[in-house]
Amino acid sequence: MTMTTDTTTPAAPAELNGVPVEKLRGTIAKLTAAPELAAFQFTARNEWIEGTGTTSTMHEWYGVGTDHLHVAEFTATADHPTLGHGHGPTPQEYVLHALAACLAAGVATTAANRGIELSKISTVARGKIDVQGVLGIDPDVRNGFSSVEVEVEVEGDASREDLDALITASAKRSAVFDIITAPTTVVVAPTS
Amino acid sequence: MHTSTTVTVIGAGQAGLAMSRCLTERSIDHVVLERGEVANSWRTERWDSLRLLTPNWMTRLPAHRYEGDDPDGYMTADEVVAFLAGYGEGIDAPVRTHTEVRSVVTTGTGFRTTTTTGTIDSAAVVVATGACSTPHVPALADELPTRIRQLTPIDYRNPDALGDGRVLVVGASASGAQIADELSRSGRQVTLAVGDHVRLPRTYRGMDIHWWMDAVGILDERYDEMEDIRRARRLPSLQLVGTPEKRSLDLNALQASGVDLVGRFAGVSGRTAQFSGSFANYCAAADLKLGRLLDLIDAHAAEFGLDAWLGEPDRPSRTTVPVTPTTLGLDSVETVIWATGFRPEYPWLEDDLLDRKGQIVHDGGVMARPGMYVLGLPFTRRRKSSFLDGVGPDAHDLSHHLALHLDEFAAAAS
Repeated sequence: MTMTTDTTTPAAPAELNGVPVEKLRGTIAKLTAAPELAAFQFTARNEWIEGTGTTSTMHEWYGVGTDHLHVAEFTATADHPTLGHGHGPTPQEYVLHALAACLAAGVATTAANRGIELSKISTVARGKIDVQGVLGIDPDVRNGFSSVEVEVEVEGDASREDLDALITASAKRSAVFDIITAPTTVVVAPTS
Repeated sequence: MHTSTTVTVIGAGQAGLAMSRCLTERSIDHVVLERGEVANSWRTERWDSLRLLTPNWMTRLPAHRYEGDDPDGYMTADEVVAFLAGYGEGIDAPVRTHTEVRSVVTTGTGFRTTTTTGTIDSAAVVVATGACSTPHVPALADELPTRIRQLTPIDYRNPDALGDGRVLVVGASASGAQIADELSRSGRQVTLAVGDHVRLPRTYRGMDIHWWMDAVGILDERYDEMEDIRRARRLPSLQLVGTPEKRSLDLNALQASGVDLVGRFAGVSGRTAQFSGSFANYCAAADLKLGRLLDLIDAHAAEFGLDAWLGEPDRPSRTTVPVTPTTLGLDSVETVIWATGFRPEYPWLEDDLLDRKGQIVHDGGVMARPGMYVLGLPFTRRRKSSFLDGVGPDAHDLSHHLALHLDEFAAAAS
């Protein structure tokens, strides 16, 4: 999910592109006044099925100073393409999905905030990976994607230039784009 | 100048001299080629404060050993040079100094080695050029601003040769940990980028950690007993320092002396260095492996009834994992020191002797071409193969193999 802080744009309808613009601006105003409410936490709980297959459940989250629940216990199931049992796509593909979803959401919200009505956002995210890394064959090869390319196709009632600008703005404020491109401290430990 | 001999040994460090002694013992004619003087790396490519990581008593070469009055001390680089030079003279090694090898070519009858002082024909060749002469610097180095001075452990001498600004030391094995510690003690601000590392206390239960590793037999583990020899061969060097006070040099000690720790150096973005967020995991892995080693040592002590005269198990505390930043503004950095290991290069060897990363293909030191051998590399035949104390047994084994090869060679020729 992407949050825009672009508050300089003119008045827009209460809802555009399915984005509740007024609510978005209200949230930004609220968190600007009380930054401590901006501390969010998301949680995925993952259970093993068999082999390389697992399912994560994402339900509770914290934000705006209080605990929340999603409207449902959303799940996502992953597996390995050759060693697994076909339970789902690979975890790496979920990363690509997360990036595409985040960028698209950012395009939609930025467009809404700028008063641009959209008819289409199509995103393709491709990740290249040299599996010599994860298989331990060559220690000089990193485990993760060596590169990620994203193509975003945006159609709407604005000039090509303004539509393309939505993509740049989205990447600039994207949580997942930042998660992938900037290092993050990750601690993995046994459950205590 | 053109000469013929039976064996050409390339390199007159600990490995080449040990091999020379073993060949002499077998009355095999040979010559030892050396690009500089005996123990050249120790003379010209080591920083001033460096000492051997193994205690003096653990300095055993074929027909030679340390006999000074400080068996538990650690030799300085100058003392290592004197020790090896004395060894070379004592065994009357036929060393040809200031002779750099240009190529080794397979001929119908053996090998032709072309050097800066002439060519040598021989029936066999032993590569003994060592593991620590060519520093490995990641491609990332090219992305740093040109203003930043970049050094490797073979260029670094002492803190005085550096400016006063912050130093980023990359790599926390023996070289990186020692250099970071020394620079921090000199009053400089030091950031140490930490990836995979092997944590060890200098002493445990009153005994040097190398005494323990020797005693429990870890150093004698053989290459053909290892489940994954490639992994064992690329293990980083031990995070140790040899000092008279026998202090440990782990990440806790480095933090206490003011070194700022960050994760593995992962990238450069504009004027910012980025570090992996995997720091805590590397520390947890190092602590886990250390715990397993100390368990093994305690079990050995109990089995051999040593508990009565040993100290209490003085296990080091877990690595304190600070909240490490994942970025560092490069404007504040004056010098970067790449302590990211060594990777020998062999432009003078035929391509089919090397793997796709340019490293020698060998089975326990026996190379892919009959009559060619290599020794002195990490875990050539034993875990201690690259140690001064460990190359001797390898030289014995390989000189035996070489002698059998020469017999076959002679039988085929007659």
